[in-house]
Amino acid sequence: MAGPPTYPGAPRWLKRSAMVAGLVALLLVILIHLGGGLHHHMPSIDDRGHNAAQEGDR
Amino acid sequence: MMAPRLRQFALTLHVASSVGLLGTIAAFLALVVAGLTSQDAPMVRAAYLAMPLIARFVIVPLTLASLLTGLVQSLGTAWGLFRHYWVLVKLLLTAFAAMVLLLKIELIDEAARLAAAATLPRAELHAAGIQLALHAIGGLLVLLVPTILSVYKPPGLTRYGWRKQHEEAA
Repeated sequence: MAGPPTYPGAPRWLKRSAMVAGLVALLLVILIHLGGGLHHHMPSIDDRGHNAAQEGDR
Repeated sequence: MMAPRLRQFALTLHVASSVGLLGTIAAFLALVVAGLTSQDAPMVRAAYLAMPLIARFVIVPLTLASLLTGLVQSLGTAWGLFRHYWVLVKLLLTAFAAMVLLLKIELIDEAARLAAAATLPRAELHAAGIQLALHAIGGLLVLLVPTILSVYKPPGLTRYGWRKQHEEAA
């Protein structure tokens, strides 16, 4: 009597997509790291308020 | 399992919310591009001030509707939620997009606050706009994948789906 069929594993389209997604994610991490982070140039409202206050003092 | 009429109704809601979401993100991206490239201060101000409205009242509800109707659709039909890889990937991508969107609402509000300032802080708005553009483009690309998966329905059972299929056949 034949045993239960073995699971064929994840389909090829999924493996390839996962590989592409992984490479894109790695590329993004490297780019963000090289660029000093996405938040590097983003000031907070507090910073802005502080700057405005400083400008007002001048 | 859902009755055929109910299934069709749920599918209509799911397609409408998912495709509507893609269109709204494209419209949001148009606003971001206008805010980034326009030299006209009122146009820049209007673009950034419109973003929180679109995000809160259209994009977030459509994202949640797409996620919810997708769950109903998969749980109420033979496709199941964890049986087929394409359904599972759709769920994970939509949930990921929803999470990123909810996290970025603060950035959208921040950009609108900057745009509402008496003197337009161009450099700060530009930095915020670049981030918003990247997220909008990323969101569009990520949400295009579920659309493609829904149309092609690529084959492939998960281990759970494989076991269930053989249990049901036995």
